[in-house]
Amino acid sequence: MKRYSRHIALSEVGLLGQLKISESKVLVIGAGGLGAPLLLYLTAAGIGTIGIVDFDTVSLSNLQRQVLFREQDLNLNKADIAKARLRARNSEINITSYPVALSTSNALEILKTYDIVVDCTDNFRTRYLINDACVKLNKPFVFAAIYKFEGQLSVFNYAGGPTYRCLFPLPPKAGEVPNCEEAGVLGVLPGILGAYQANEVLKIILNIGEVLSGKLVSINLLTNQQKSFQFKKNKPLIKQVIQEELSYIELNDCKITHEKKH
Amino acid sequence: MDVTLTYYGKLVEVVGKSQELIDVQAITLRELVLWLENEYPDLKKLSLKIAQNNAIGELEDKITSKNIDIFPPFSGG
Repeated sequence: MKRYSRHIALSEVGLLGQLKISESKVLVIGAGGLGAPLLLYLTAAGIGTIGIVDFDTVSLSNLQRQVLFREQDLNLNKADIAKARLRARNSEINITSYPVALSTSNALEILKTYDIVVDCTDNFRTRYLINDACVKLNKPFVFAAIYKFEGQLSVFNYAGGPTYRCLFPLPPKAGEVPNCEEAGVLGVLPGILGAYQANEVLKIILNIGEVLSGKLVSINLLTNQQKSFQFKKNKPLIKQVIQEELSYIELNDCKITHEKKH
Repeated sequence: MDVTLTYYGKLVEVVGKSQELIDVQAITLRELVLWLENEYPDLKKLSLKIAQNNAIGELEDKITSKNIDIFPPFSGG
């Protein structure tokens, strides 16, 4: 516990809080720009069990912002190499890598043993899948997404709070919203948003402060402006997600977004 | 009524500015959306949310603030 003495020194954490951290299980989906700083801080904090889901491999253009990886990691699976890099920083915690794509057939199985899910993905299909699986399993998920110099941050499905679908009921049409590869991104942006996600994870575990539920925070690095927008729960939509199969919901999303008249 | 519109993310590129002051005739957020789509036809294709008084509004809400934020979902991670 000497490792965590600076946590324990905080009256808001203390020995009991640090024990809560060491007993918690957090699943991180996407070991990219957001996932890298998040995973470093969760590991350093001593989260008892960390799961990492990523099917992708490390490429040269990732190194500009995905600070967990080294040049020697090129072409290796991100989840596996992240596990190895994190293991060297903290040998006292459990780390599991899932070098697969999250899908409607494996999502519930992978998510079910974790307390908190963190969405560090770069695409809407996986984000809606995470939302729906978390709604079905009644788990909170910590969300961030980025665009060039701006970020969005929130905690969904926390203690009966609203979900991502309450904010954006349906995914946008394919190609409508560019990802980092298409739009470019300032490397430090996911670093900041990923660290904010780690902060929300710790607040949930420790039950301190005000968890960012029911609010979307918008952050602009060029102006240093932050704004917070409240939004409401859409109960009928949540009920629908609980009732339908994940594969049916995904197919339906896909149909509707293709049929949108543009 | 003079209202300042603030755009976020890709919307800044679509409308060509991050902020503008307009004299709105619109009474509700729905009417504001119609004005926006008329002024910037490319917005019609995009998912967006409109917020005033630090809360995301419904289309039938009346415009009550002089500052309105308009933003899309972000994808990147």
